Amino acid sequence: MRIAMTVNGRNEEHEVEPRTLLVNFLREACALTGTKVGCDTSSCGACTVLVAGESVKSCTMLAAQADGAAITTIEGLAGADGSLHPMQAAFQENHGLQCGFCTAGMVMASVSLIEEQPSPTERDVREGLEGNLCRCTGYHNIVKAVLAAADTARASR
Amino acid sequence: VTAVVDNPGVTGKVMGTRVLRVEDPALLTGESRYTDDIVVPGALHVRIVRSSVAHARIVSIDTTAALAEPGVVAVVTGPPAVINAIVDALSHLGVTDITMPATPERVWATMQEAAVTQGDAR
Repeated sequence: MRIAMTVNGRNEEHEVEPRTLLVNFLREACALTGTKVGCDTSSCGACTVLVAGESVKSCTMLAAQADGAAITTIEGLAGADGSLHPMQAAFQENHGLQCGFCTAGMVMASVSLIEEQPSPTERDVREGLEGNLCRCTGYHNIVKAVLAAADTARASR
Repeated sequence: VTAVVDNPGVTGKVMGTRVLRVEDPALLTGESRYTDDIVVPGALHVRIVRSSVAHARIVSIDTTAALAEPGVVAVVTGPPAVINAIVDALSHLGVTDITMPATPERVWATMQEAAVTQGDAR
């Protein structure tokens, strides 16, 4: 079936099998491999992307369900000049990543989190990211990064 | 793999200075490549089918349905794979084949035969 969506502002239209998951549409049809498949069972959150601004685990959604939607992936966050999105910068500054495999999902979920809760507490961040697993960092620096990015976002408002 | 940043007033010193990892920008923007992100043209994908029961004896494996699937190039079941591994491991002795079932006794006999054959050739 023919599926079209806007991915990071670009029109992406591809012929795929009806059973194609959104994550495979992004990784294979659109060649955007920044979004990762970690568990394939919506436990780990590595595949998190924004669908119409809301964070979605893209291994749990059919590409067909996202037909016509506007998608943002990790590749779409940085500025055109390559400057990091404030959330990406906060992750680097606070050492919120090591191997980087969970990072795309963590960053996308965090962008959505502070959009919904501009002034989250540490507990809010931990609860908000409970669907995203990281095997390297022990989460402390990820939480610090998200809180720092929330501060930056409020200050620039 | 680190770059020295933020070095206020501690010119020329690295110890105790905050550093930012240089690999982070690629990891944070999705540009870095993991094995699963690499596209190898013509690559075949292996699917491992595991036992559906915890403890049992495999009497036989019927591969006809799997082989009939479109796009399936080969079905490798335990015995051929094990035999290939044994033959490969013993190839330096001149072993080119081993009769099923490959019991320890049969493997030992095959090795002895190969050794004798090599001895005869000398």
